[in-house]
Amino acid sequence: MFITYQLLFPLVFIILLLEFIVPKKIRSFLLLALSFFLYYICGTASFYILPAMGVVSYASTMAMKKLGSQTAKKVILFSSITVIVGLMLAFRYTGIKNAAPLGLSFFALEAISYISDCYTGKIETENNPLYVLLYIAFFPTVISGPIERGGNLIPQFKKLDSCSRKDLLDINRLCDNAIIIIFGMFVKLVIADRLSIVSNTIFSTYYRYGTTVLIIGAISFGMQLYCDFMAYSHIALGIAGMFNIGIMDNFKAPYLSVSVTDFWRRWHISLSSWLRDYVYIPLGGNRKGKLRKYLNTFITFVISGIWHGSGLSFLVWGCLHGLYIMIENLLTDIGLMKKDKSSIPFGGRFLRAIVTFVLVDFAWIFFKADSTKIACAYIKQMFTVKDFWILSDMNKFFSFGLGIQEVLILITALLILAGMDFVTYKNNLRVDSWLKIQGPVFRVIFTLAILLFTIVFGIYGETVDPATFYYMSF
Amino acid sequence: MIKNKQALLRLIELIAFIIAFIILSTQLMNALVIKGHSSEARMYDVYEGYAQNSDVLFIGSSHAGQLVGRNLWRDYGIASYTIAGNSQPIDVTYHSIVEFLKHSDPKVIMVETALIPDDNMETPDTEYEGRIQSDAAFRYSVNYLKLASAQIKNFNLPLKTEGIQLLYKWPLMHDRYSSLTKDDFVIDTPYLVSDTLPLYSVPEEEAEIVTSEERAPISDIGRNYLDKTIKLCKEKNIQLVLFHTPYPAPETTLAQQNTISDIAAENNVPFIDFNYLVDEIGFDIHTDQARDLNHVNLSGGEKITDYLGKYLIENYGIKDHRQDPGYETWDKDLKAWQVLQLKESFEKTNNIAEWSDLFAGQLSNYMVILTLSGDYTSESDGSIQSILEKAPVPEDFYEKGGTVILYRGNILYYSGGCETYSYSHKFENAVVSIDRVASGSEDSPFEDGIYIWNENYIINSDGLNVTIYDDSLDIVVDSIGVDACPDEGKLIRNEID
Repeated sequence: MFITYQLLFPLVFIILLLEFIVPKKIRSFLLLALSFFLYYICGTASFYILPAMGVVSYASTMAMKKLGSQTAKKVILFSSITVIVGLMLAFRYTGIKNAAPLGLSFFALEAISYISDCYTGKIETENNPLYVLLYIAFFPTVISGPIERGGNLIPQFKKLDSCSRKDLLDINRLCDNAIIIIFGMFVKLVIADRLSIVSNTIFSTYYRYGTTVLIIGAISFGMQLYCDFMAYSHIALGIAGMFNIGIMDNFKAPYLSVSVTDFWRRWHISLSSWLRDYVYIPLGGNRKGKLRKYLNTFITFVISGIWHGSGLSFLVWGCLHGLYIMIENLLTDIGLMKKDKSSIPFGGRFLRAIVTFVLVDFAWIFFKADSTKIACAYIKQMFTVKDFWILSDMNKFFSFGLGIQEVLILITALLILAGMDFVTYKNNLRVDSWLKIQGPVFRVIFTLAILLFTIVFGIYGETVDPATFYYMSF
Repeated sequence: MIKNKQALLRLIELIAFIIAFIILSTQLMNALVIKGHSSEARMYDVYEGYAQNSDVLFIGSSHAGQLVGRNLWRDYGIASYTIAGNSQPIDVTYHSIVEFLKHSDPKVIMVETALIPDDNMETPDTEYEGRIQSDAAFRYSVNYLKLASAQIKNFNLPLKTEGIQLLYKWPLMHDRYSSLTKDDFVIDTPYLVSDTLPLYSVPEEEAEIVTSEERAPISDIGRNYLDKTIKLCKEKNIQLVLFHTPYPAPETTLAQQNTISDIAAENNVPFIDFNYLVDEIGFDIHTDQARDLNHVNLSGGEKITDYLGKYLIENYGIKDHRQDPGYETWDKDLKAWQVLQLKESFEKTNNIAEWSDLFAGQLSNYMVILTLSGDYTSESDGSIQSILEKAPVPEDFYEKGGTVILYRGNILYYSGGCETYSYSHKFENAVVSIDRVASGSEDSPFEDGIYIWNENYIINSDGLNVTIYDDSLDIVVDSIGVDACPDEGKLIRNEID
């Protein structure tokens, strides 16, 4: 069982109140205790892995700090990373698969980045184990990210322990973060969960359909995945923000990207930047010639695929993205693709955004399908079975789980999302900061509208469990 | 200083947001909350205050719902309210009484006993648990929480799943927006919509209503809630009466009802088991029982209601409120009930001669729209004229054709021989509009028809169309078509809501 919204939001409110009441020095301690408590009541298997990960991170970094010898430091670095990666692989590929703790893939990467950053001296080793543990177990990010960095979170925890009560209850910050949460809930309950009905219907019985429907299925899944994960990231961002902890914005309108390379700068940013910093750059990045650069890119995406799941399909998905980027790099290098995307006119950007979406969405088929075999069958059917007349047959067209009323609700919500993505990306703002510019009247009306829209048109009840987010399965 | 001002402005914005949210969401909730329909316990009207003047509460399973509360008002002026649902269990019944008493001060509570010993209670199924969340439509309250926690305890519901859902009651069901009806926005007839729909069928097989001297145990939960109900009524000084409607029940049921009878006697609570009274009330299983051999049909319901009406007046001096102010809604409900009965009578009649007799008697009560269209004179056998003769239509109507609207016997509109005409009339509850296009015309922007709520009631394009409409209740009583030369004297009829 995951914590449902009905439980989570009152709990956040209570925790906030507690943080306000308790002496400020123990705020982080309280946050840690409550993070462990929330993680525990999520009903995760192997609960102990989370605190153990924190202990490993703290102990190894402290040991590295105490030891003078570079070799000894290196030994500790590699052995601790080996233990963490070994643990991840063991829980993914061996018989203990079912005992995997929730969010392991996320907090393990946080542990690795912390240990590496301490080793390289990018950040100072934290002496207080409390902060390291809280960094690993911080409840808004523990289950599905964003994959944070110690250098960002730990100083903020310290600040939390010293800020005044007035700062803690800053009404502007609280309201702004509440707006982010409401927007996240809107995207999740109205859009993502509605799209999941279509994608699940089509993917589970793909063999019944032809080109048009299978394209609709793939598009639905692509949009569902974005909305689902973006919504989760927004909710996590909003909740963390309530405690005056700023975490990474994980998405920047990725489906408006003009290339796959651009897409990876805007999709699951915390993971792609992690892979860049801890895989791609250590492999040599682009410093060792073009061929190595291509290879390093490819390896990075293969690792990304492995991180996402144990099946072959995830590996294929990673390889596809690796190939896309390699080809894009090649085209850029030989001058067939513009490097400076700001010089591309609107029409060109629009077309490139479509091409990028098609490429990314095609790869998502491997992500969604239960196996590579099914994904291949899906694709084969998509290219070989003609069913274009279905666009004229409205009875069939609206038979994939959503009737015309549902589709209208979905389209309205998607337009709101697309508009918001466009203006926030264009101005490089978050939802709350864009709304701030629009003035209080618009802000109140907009927030009320999406909140009421979510209450009335959100998918909750028996069919979909609203508390499960797609990325929790990784 | 600036920061403080910003904070103050944001606080004002937040307060404005919260006020707007409360106002809008309350309005939305009123529309979206599940109000319950004819087969469910409907608490919504109680919460809205419609039950506050009622003297008698009828409560229990669908057996209680088959009684005719409107007849109690018509014949005895008894203001009663019914909370009955299909297989409504005793715990829901008990907590519904508690909820009802928050909004009303009845003199008598009539509890129907069929489900008190329910065997399901020993092995509850999921359907049972689901019924509490939606059908009973309780508002969140301490009373509701007591019901929810009792169910979690009684039926060992897992706290993490069903339990938490029960305790943390979300008032909305997903996709509720797709099933909204007029009833979700306008409560015209609160008692009628709380009643269970009457049954008109009769048994198709032989059966017999019997009695028994045996005793059989009832479930602990049933016993517990029966005791609680008795105690509650004593505390509140309300007369409790238990009753059981007649049907050919199995031996165990009869024996369990006898046990309830014993418990009632121990507590000085009257128990009326109609299985023992079939002769006294003239209950004939062949005409008064429904096909399912479980419920009573309308005729049976009327007989029991009549008995209970007399019983309530004789024993508890329930007052006749028919002339009292504050009881207008009961009058309106009675009228709606009569309209629905009339609608039923019309719909059962397919013969033109019978139908026109019924029609003639109702002209002064409703709006009637008569339209002659197409080739209605050719090969006429006089059927159309026979209907028109019974209505006060203009003399040249048959000759000129077109549309006549009669409102309670008077002419409201006559098209007077025009081939193309358009007319619209706004009533309190609806708009009736007529758009007629000359045959063969393709220029008209309108679709040819007689519209009420934009639904076209033209059934027959060559002949007479008659629509009978009650504007005060917004009910289409009947809508028929008559051919110039009808097949075996039959009407043409579409299914209407």
